[in-house]
Amino acid sequence: MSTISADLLTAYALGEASPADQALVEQHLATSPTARAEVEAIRAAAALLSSSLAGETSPGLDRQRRLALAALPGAATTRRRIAFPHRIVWPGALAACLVVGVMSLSRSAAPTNPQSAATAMLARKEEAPAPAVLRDRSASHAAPADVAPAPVAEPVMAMQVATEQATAPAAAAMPTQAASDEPVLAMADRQSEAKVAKSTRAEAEADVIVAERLDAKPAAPAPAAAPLANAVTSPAAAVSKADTRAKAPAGPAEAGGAALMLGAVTPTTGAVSDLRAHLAAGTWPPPATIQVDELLAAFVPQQPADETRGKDAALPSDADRQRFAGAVVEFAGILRGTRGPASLEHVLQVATATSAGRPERLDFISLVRQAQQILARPPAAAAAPAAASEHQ
Amino acid sequence: MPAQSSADGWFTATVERYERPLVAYALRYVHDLEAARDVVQDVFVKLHTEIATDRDGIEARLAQWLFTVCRNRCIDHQRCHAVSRKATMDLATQHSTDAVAPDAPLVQAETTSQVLAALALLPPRQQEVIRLKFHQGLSYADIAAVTSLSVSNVGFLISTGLATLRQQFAPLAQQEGQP
Repeated sequence: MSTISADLLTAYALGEASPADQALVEQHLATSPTARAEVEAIRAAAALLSSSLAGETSPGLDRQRRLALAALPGAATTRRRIAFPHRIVWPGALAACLVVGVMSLSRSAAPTNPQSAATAMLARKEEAPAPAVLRDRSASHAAPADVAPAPVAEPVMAMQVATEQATAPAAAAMPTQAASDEPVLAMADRQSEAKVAKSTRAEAEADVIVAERLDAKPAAPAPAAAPLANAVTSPAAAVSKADTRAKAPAGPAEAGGAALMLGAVTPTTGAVSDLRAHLAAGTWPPPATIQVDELLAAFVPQQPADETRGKDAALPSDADRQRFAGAVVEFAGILRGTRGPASLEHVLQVATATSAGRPERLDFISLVRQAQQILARPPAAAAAPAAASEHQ
Repeated sequence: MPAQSSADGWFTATVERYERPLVAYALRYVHDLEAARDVVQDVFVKLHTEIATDRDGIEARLAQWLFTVCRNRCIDHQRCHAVSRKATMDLATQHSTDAVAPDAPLVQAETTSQVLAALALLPPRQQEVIRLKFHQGLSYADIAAVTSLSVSNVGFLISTGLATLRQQFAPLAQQEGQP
């Protein structure tokens, strides 16, 4: 009886054996029940492995790079509209919206011309040759200190354009905000790809700038709440949220007209698990996988029942959201400042070392430690508080 | 030619089909998501350039071509950034044990996590060829071309890795066999 090596048997079981080897193995299998069982076991293991690997998630390219590839000459017959993701661009959109929020405070003093801004931005988009759209690696890995303050005009302008064009339809969807001058991001996904790409490219600058703004204004006044709410809400979800608000009776959170829109983003699974991997690795979480509301539910400690907050007692308060937003921006700046892989512990060390005279960083440190505790739990335990805070 | 490739949306379809597998593959080398995306973007830019002269040749071995170029780019990146192999594989271990599709049923997700955790314990070479074989569906010959190994070496690595994994899978198979 011939001897068949394990390698050959495996190759046969996986369909990789040459015709000659295949005949040899089959001749052996005809006389060896053990070998037949071995082949079946290999195939079963291969099937289990394939199904397990198929269930493994992995991030793809981000929107900016997809747009850059689509912009290559002849890359596509029609420019496929890349929808604004169901999940927000995080934290760039958050940061950019915060910038708008800060800018909106001083808007009466320094009005802008959105039409000219839109024209200028689109013109710049048209002028840019395709390769120039490709990501600048040096910029993508730049430390916050390397980002010059000058580009602040880009995110601000981009978001202002979105704001101006989105105000009318958003006002129709959200009558409580009809008279408000707050920027509304809910309809931003109806903007052109150029605007989306522009605001995305401005992420790196935006969150650094916002970090500086937050440093100057650690406690944001009430009017800044609306852009913050938009920042933590995906545009698509904000639209659905607007529908919900139109049907539901006005609650305490809506009393101010510019109040936060709480709990309208439908929590999805995966976001915390994604962040778990990236925090553990000290890498930047893929923006498309982040659900801010789910993170809020996981990171912000559950508030005790409070009669004054009524049915929203389980939801994060506005102050929690503002605090969390500030922490996210801090987190972004510190991670980018580490230039490459950094452990969460290292991020904490940096935050601690630079916390003197900056009380807001203590909040950040506290939040990250909470994150560490949450991430140390089994996934089911970590998901429990998230489920508990779902909108009722 | 690019114009030809655009005529049927081939390039766009290729990007959509392979961006995630390639980013996942690159991530195991370069240890950084943004860097992995840069690498994959470079791969697609090169693809766009190359199909201008040899689309048929590339299309016939598309997966092999993409993963080969991606791997070469990753190695270049490693040389430039001096990322240690150990750190890369440590990260790969974390990703493989954590990144399970969120919509998977609980029991299946648990099994998947255990399988991926077992896979993460294999030597890097075995992990790489097993992933290329059982995740990307590449043949022994394709894997040999991507990894610069001989076909027989690929067969040995896969056979050895599978044998190790089967020992880990045995309890899982028993669990699944129970009602």
